[in-house]
This record gives sequence, C-alpha cells and structure tokens, in this order.
Amino acid sequence: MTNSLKTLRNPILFFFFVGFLLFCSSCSKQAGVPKVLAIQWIENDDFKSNLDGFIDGLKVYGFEDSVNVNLQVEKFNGNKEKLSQFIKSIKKSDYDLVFTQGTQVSSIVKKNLKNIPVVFSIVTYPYKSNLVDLKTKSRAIVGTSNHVHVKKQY
Amino acid sequence: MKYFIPNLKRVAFVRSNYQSNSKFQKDEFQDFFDDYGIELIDISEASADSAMSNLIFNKGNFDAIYTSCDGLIQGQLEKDIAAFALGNKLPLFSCNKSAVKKGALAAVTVNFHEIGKSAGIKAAKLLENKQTNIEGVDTYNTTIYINANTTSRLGIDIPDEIRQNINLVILHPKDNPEQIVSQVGAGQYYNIYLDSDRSNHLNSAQSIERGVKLALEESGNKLLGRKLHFILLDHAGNTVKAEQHLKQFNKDPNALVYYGGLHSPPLIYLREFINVNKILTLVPWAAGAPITRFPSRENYVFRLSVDDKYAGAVIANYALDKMSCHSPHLLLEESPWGESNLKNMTNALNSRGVDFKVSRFSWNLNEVAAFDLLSNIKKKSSDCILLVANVIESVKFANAMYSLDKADRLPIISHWGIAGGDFPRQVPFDKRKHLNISFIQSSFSFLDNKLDTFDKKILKRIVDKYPDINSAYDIEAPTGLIHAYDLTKILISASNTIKPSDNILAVRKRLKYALEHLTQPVEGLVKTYRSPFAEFSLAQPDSHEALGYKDYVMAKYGAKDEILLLK
Repeated sequence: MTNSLKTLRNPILFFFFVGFLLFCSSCSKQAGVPKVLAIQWIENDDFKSNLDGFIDGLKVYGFEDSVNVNLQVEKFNGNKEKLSQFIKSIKKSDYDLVFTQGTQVSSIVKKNLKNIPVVFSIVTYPYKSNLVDLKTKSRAIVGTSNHVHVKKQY
Repeated sequence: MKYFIPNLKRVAFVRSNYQSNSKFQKDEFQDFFDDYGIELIDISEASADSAMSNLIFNKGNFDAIYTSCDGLIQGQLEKDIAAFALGNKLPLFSCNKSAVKKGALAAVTVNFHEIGKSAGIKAAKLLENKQTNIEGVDTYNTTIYINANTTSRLGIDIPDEIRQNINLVILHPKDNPEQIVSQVGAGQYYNIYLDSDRSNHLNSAQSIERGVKLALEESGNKLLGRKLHFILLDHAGNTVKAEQHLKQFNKDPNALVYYGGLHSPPLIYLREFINVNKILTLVPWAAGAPITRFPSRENYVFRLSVDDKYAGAVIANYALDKMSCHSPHLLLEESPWGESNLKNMTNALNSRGVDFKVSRFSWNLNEVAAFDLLSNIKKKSSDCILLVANVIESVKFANAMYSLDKADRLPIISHWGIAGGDFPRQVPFDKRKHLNISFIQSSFSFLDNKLDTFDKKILKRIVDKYPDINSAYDIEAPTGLIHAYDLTKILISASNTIKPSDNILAVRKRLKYALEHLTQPVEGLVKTYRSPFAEFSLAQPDSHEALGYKDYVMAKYGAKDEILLLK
C-alpha cells in the first residue's frame, strides 16, 4: 500500500481530501478575474435567447466564462420573492457587474445593489421608468431596450 | 394589426397595473389609437389570474387583444391568453415572439438575442473600463412573427402587405392549438377575490394582499386540497365598480372567498347582494358597524378588524379620559361609515353626559374648506376633534390644522382611516410634531419590543419575502397585513374541517358553517383565536366579529413614520 493510500485510511484526512476534491469541482472558476452576475428573470425563449446574446456579446471583447470572467447565472422564473431573498443574501462586493432583464428587476437591482455597474436588457422605457437618468453620470447603468413604437406594430 | 383587421375598433390591452413600463406602453398605444378612432380597453391587473378573469369578464367588448411587454404577461399568462383568444376566435397580438410560439397571431419585435448581445458588448466595455452608453431605441431591426397554426385556426390568410415584408418569419410551432385550448378551465382550483381601492389607497390594498398570501403560503397555497388563484380587483372606492366585481364573483364557478378593502360604503351598500348570493366575504379592514350585521342566519360576512360599534366609544373615551377633552367636536365624512360613527359616538358621549357638536364633510373637500371648517370648530369652543376620515381627507385636515395659529390648534383623535396609506409621508414628522394626532388601532404591532417567537418568525418571513421591507419600520399600512393574515389563518383552519365539492355554493355554505363552529384555537398576530365566530342572530349581533373592544388601543405616528401603540 502506498503512503498516499495509507493517508486516506485516516478518516479525518480522508474527509479533508474529499472536501478538497468537492471544493475543486467548482475550481473551474478563475480566481482574480471579474465576476458577473446574470439574472434571467423569465424562463421563456425570448429571455433565454437574450441571455445567450449577452454571453455572445461578452465574447466579442474576448470575455469567456471560467477563463477571464466568472459568470454566475441565476434564474428566477418571475418569482419576486425568490429574487428578493437572493438580492438580500448577496454582498455588494461579490460582483463586478450585474446583468438584468426587464424593468422591474433592473430597478430592484439598481436600488439594492448600489455601486455595482448594471447592464440591462429587455427594458421597454429605460428613460421614462427612471432606470437611466441622463443627468446622473456617477453610476454605470446602461443597457438595451426592446421598445418597438406602436406605429410599427399597427 | 391593420392588415389583419382593417376595421379594427376595440382592442383589449392586457398589462400589469403596477409596472411603470406597461403604463407607458398603454399611454403610447392610447394616444395612437385615439388618432385612428380605435377604443383601447385597458385590462390592467396586479396578477395573472386577475388579468385572465378581467379579460373573460370583458369578452364581447373587443375585436382583438394585445399583450404588453411587462413581466406579468411574459410567463404562463401568455399561454393562457393565447388559449383564450384561440377558443374565442380572437386575434391576439403580442410584444414577444415567445407569445407567438404559444398561439398568439403575430408580434412585431426586436431580436432578443441581438439586444442581449449588444448588452453583452456594453458589459465587456465596462469591465475594460471603456466608455459606453445606452442605445437609442430605434437602433435595432424589427421582425414580424406570425403563427401559421393560428392563422388557419382563425380562418384568415396572411395579408399580401405583410408577406412582402422582408423581415417576416412564419412560425409553425409544435403546440397544437386544440391542446392549448383544452387546458383552459380544466384545472381544479378556487379563486380568491381581493377587491379594494388600489387607485387611491394602494398601500392598504397591498398590505391586505400580503397578509392573505402570507397566511396561505402556510397551507401550500391551497384550500380544500385545491390550488388557489388570486383575482386582484380595484373598485377605487366606487360602489358601482364593487357591485360589478361582486357580480363577476357571482358568475364565477370557482369563486370561493371575497376579501373587502379599506372602505366600508361598498360593503354596507352591497350587503344584501352579498348575503343573498352567498358570497363568503372576509373583512380585514373596513370598520362600518352594519357590515357584519345582516339580520339573518344567512349572513356570509365575517370581520377581523376594528368594529365601529365599539370604536366610536374607544375613541370618545380616550378623548375624555386621556386627552382631557370636555367639549368634543365630531368631524365625520358624509358616508355610511360616517353615519355609523355618528350613531356610536353619540351613544358613547351621551352615556358620559358630555355635550358635543357635529360637522360633516364630503370626499371632494379641499384644503380651503378644511381650514374654514376647523376655524369654525375652534370658534364654537370645542377643545378636541373626533375625526372619521380616510387618508386623503385626513391629510387636508392635518395641513389645515397646521395652518392655524399654534394656540388655536386642537388635538385630533381619529378613527383609523388616517393609517390607511401614506399619511406620514404627506404630513411629515417635522409638521406632525407640532400637531397632536392619535388614532385607533388593533392591539398588535411588529414594532412592539415584546414580540414572541411566532411574531418574530412572521416578521422574518415578511422581510425575506418583500424587497421593499427590510425591517418592521418599512411595513406600510400594517393593519391590513396583520388582520388579513389572522383572518386567513382562521379561514384555513375552518377549511380543514370540511370536504371539497364541485358545487361552489355548497362549498361556501360549508365554509360559512365551519367558520361559525370552529373550535380549534388559531394562533394569530393579534391574539390566539378561540371560537372567533358563531352563528349570527339578532340576539348575538357581534358573532361575526373576531375582535372585541378589548383588542383596540390608541396609537400615534413616530419620528420614523412608524405606528406606535399607546398601551
């Protein structure tokens, strides 16, 4: 029996070893690289496609998940309570940027996670809903809108 | 739309009533439709179930449906509305491509992948500390999506004008429309109606809604083993609208319980309709004495709130005993609620041998009129005011009182309509500290420093659940939540003693009986309820009241806009 296997017969060291392996199963995330939280609000094809687009957009500038950016995707399926609990549970220092979908979620994130840049999408009226204030330059809140004027829809 | 329906006259616009973006979109459509002589039927609701119910109720009043871009719509509701539209041969237009896949006729939308990608590029620039800004809204190309299955089901062709569009995508989704349609109404569920004034007293309405839902979570959002749908309605304090909503309830084969809101008048005026039609009505706020006293054993209205029959006496006695008031002036709104308080306060003051004066006012009172009323009251040598008003008028009286010379200001001892909304924000502490305002409440507060384990557990759930609440100080109009929670706990307990049935009238009748014969103690926030209700009779006129006068206390607003009980 090799020394290393003997070591594993010690229960304390064995559990330490297993714990280390479990820890390292999530070690594919790179340390020291930006952390991005992406909130998928609704689980339908449009929102999923939008999130895929976001990830593709990051790639345009060379940001690949688990290589030079750590992307954490959280899905809420329209559940405000779950979102609220999650937002309250995280620390502001946990993320370098948050990606949001929809006006309501973007507003909640803007209000509760101050000082973190927010990039939103699928917000129909970003100015009217006060998500983006052109006079405020102090905080990065940018994004894209899905607004299609009624003239085009009629 | 114009190519599919050249003579389009009326469009049901389905949207959330609490998301700003959907209101902006509705306004945009309204302005545009006005120019084309098209009527927009605003189906604006707070929940998917309410929106669906409202849509069904308005069936026949529109030629087409449009679902807005808000988050309420873009979940299961899209599918339900598509099924409704198909079942009723109505064209449905949507803001989203996903709705078209679910059976909507058409949508003109941006490419969601493209706008996501553009957002990703912005994020990358931010991560690299490069400058970026929001795109203009017309940056992205639009695509017309049409569901081919739906066109054939509606028996319409895709118009040539649309076929010529280079950005047209015709979808042939796998979903069989017949299958989708068959899902509507197939579920075994009950509808819970919450009808209150969301237009003028949203805080109280939301607070009631939260209390009901918080309690029902404890029964897995089920009653009698069946799932629950919440129908949130807004009668705006208008009895005619409340009557329409009750008629809607009466037609609904799944309607189990109707919760009233802050206003007493709709429940007093419509009391006969409610009881004749066996509409099981729970009252967590409105205090008008006649509400629960329909003179029959067939009385379907149960209250857990302050009861004006006793509130008037508590308010009057507090004024005499604690505020040293010798010559009170009753200032009451012109409504059945004001009338009920006039009677009860008169009885209380007469029994103490105290002379008093009375003034009445209507809901459209302005601050000048409020100022004149208060000046006259002061001239008549009254030394305190017993006020029966809701927030809107209470604010006007408080501001008017503040406008008087300091020496002329009188203490206001108020009914609790004052606590039904954002009074403390409209009359901020800097102003309130120069006024003497107290009001009646039930005897529980989350700010009490003697909360027990049960109370703390409920508070934690509230804080965890709602983004706008981080502590007990943030709970607005807490009365609604507290009473609705306790009342719903009693409902759940009663429902556990009976069997379900497909005959909704039979279920409501059994539930009424169970409420009147409940023996199991129910732990609530205000107290533990032991046999809270009994069968109604003229000899036992309080038998549909879960609280009694011992459960009432007076309160004040504190410096942080919180309600502080004066125990």
